[in-house]
Amino acid sequence: MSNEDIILPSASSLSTLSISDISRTGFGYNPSVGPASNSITPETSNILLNRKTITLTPTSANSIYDKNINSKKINEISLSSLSFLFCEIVNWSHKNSKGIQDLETRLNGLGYQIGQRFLELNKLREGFKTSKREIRIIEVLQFIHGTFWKSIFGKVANELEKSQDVTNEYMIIDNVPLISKFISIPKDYGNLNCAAFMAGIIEGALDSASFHADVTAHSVPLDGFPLRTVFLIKFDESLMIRESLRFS
Amino acid sequence: MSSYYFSIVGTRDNPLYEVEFSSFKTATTSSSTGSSVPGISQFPTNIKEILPFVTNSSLDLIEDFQWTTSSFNLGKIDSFYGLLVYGFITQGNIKFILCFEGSNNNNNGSSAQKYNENSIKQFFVDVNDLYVKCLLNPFYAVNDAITSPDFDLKVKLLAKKYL
Amino acid sequence: MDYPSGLDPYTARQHLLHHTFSPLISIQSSHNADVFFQRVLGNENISTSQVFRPYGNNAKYTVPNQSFKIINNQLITKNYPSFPVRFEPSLPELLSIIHASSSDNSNGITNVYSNSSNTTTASSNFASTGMAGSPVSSISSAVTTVSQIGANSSSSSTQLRQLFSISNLELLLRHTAKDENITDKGLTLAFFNKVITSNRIVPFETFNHPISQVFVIDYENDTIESLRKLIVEFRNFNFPKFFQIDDLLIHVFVLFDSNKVPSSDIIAFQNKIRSSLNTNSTAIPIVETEDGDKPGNFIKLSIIENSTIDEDLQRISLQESSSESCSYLQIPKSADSIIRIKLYEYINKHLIPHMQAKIRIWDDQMLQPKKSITGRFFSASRKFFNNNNSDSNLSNVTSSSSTGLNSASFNYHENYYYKSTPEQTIRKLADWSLILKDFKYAYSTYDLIKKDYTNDKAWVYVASTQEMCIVSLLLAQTQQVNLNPVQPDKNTLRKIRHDIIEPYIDNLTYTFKSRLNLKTYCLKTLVIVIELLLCICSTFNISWWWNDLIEKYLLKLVGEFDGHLLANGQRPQVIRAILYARLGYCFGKCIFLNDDNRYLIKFDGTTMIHAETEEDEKTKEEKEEGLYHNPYKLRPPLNNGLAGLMRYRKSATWYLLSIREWLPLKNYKQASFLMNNLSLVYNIKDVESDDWYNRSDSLLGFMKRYIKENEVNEKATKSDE
Repeated sequence: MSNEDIILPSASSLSTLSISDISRTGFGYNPSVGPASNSITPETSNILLNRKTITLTPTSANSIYDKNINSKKINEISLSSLSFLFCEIVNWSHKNSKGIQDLETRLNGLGYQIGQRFLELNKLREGFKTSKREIRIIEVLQFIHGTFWKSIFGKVANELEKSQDVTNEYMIIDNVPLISKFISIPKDYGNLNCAAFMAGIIEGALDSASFHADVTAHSVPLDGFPLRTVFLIKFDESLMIRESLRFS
Repeated sequence: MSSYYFSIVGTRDNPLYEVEFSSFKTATTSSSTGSSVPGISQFPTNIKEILPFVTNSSLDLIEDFQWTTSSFNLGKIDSFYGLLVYGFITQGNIKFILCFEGSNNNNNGSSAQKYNENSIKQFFVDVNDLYVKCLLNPFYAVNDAITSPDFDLKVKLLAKKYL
Repeated sequence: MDYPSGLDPYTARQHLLHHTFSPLISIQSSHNADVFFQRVLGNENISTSQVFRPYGNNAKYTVPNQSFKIINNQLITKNYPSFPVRFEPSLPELLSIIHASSSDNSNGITNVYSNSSNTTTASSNFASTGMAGSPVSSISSAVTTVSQIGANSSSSSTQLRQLFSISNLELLLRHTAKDENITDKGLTLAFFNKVITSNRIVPFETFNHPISQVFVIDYENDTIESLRKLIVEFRNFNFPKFFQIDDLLIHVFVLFDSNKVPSSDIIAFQNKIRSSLNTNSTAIPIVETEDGDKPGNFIKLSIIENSTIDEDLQRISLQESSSESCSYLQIPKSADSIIRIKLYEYINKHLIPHMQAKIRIWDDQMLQPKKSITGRFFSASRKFFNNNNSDSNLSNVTSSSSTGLNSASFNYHENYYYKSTPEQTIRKLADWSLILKDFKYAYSTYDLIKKDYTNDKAWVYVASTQEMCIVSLLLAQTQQVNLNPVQPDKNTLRKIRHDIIEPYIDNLTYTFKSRLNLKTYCLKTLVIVIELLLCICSTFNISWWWNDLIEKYLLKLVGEFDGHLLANGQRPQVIRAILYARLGYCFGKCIFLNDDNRYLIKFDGTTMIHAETEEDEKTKEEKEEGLYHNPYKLRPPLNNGLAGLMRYRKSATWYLLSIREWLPLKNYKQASFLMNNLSLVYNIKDVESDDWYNRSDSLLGFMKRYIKENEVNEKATKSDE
């Protein structure tokens, strides 16, 4: 547990600025103070007007804010290096976990934040002229199944199905989940599916988009597709109410 | 020169980022007034203290739009207590809200208003770009306050550019 | 779920019917009758009309099993549990008050000064600087507008004045709000009541024209002759030309002591009154009790009933100068119950039948001819052929069909129709049928007569009739006779809104404000219409139809009151606080769900609905066992399914603005009432949590601290005692 603290300079520690924290540069928002913390002063006004290059943080000179993240070009990374990294991730999670179930939720949790980020990035890259905000369950699922899947895994998911028995359950099916391509599960690990990481990505994206859901990964092998995985999406009941009030 | 209050509101109705400023454009032309520094907001106290609440109350309407229209830019969503409220919502349920005092320049005609609405929209789109960049930071989590001075600077530059 | 808490608009509607659209009965008593009551009550300062006044409200002062039977024009009988009336001083007295302040300019101003010196003594105690002089200026400005309007006209008629003084209303409410016992609801109701209550007699509406004149005499000391003298004197009074004395129900109350006078004597006396004066009477036996000193035999009555703003202010200043409570009267129990019973009899046996009979006659003689085809033809012919004198045949017919059918019947100089004209009578017909709760008939009548007023360019009549069109229509829609009211369909609603309410309000606002400089009249209309619209919203759950209109009208009211009061340097204001709170109420009640889906609302009014749902027990346990739990998981907010269908946050912001008005007045009680109406949106208990709204420079943050500080101080002073 303790080594977690060392590795992660947690984001929340950055945001807990107290009332007494005053920015030295005149820039930067302090939530404990509110808009008074970053109100424009004669000095900062001068900087803004004269476009002086200014170093606010060590990374100012080469910050992400100056980069273009909007490029349509697909940035590919090596699958093998990803697989090695993921292998370590699974190992690390496994070490901390207290069982198969726990291991899967850990993987899910790691994917979750990726999903949150990719959702926004995807919509940004689609461009505001052509893109629209997803407001219906079926539309957001099609988006996840199509564009979203493709931008992460390089191909669309194989199937999108609706549960016949339960109204708030949907399934996205991938025959060969990219992440578990080189993973074989030992017998004594039973039904462990490391695509829980991908389930986490879906869950993060859906939750962020206000389609609150729990997503789990289940192995359902077919002939020729031993890795075939069903991502079971269980939406919160409140969404069904929203959907029926808004679109019926 | 109207004053603006811009706020980014997270999924828990909490402000992630706020800033008050006034239009830089008119300030430079009317700098003969001397005392006023361009960009410094001119909200009187009785307005200043309610701005976050006006923003919060507009969430009622934003939520209504959120599930009826599929556009990101919501345009003018409310006018409250003499304040105009414009809104924008991302796919990730993050709201950008801009409040400013309804000016008496109605006689400027609809073209000026249209221009205004366009620049507000452009401002929102560019802020969205900044927000996503901020979100890509692995040490930032959704609903955290955005405290980065660089982000602050960039938003203010956008304000100067468009408003 | 009672959130937000605030005045139920149906209470306002009821008060509207009780205090404005109820029969006005003027009371004139002989000196002996006054003495009789003074003896019975053991109070030398009481007058007969003061005794009767509270009993007019028979919703409050009931008799067992009371029921008022009203037969409408379609001969449908309905029973109502109450039918309040308003007892006012006699008509000459009511008119003389108006005359004193308006007919003669210099006289009017001195009267106003004496009046406002009362109010300024009151206001100096209101702990507010810079406003002591304001009532004077506002009233005198009202007087000057009157003199401007009246400049061209002769002094005999009543001239139009503002309905009430906005500054005085503010003063009064400020005083009312300091009362320890008044709640936020009570204060809103007080505001509503004061705006709608008036006993001003104007030509263009007849609600304040007395329907009955009651003479009260003492059997032992008054004779038939003295009664005859009273009536003759009354009849010889120079009434305004628009007032029809023939419609007045003359009635006599005979007071007697049943221990001293045998009932046969009374019956004989009553027969004599009937035969010699052609007047009905009611005998009221009151026993002067010997053991009257026992407190248990007395009933305490508030004499404040239907009091206007100025009456209230005068009373307050009197109370403060004499430090003697005069807002209650003590009445023996036996006398109390007999007055209730006799008034009940009088209303059921005399007043209501009188009104029904008159309505039937007017309907027959005035309204039906107008509605008939020939009537329409004549009114059309009047338009086209009026100037064509050669067609003598037609003009003869026209003038013979009704005396006042030519357009000259409207007196442009003094702005009234002569009392016997159909225009004046039909207006009265509509008013009376409204009083008798036949709202639909009233509406169609208003609608009909409105056209004639428009043709005659009788603008003040047009405006007032437009007001009544809206009011009668909304009253009809909100009448809860049957338990399951049928929701009006979309087309009806659209028509009500776009063809009636919106254009009429615009029109009458223009007439009252710009044409006549009488903005208080249109303020009154707006106040009434807002409450009735809130009624219709709550009856049918159709807030989405009306919410924006109610908001618009409330904001208009805020603007009008602000404009007036700020000019007089009055800030912050109680009126504004009340209106902001009403805005908060209006939005808080605004739920865009139809009846079928209402069950989805499950908030209990104590939890914050926009907050995320709590984790369930299972995940908490798992966390304790050291199992992983995703800290970034976004949980749906409580109202997730209903997102965007309520306006609680907007409501909360208006309440915040309302609270902001109370703090400088140091009225923490009202402030904390309103604070409870934020509880669905903000955490109102905890001041120290690091939520954004608790920042010291945000409105809620510093208000919470302010109120808390005050609570601590209060506790400290209490413990000191």
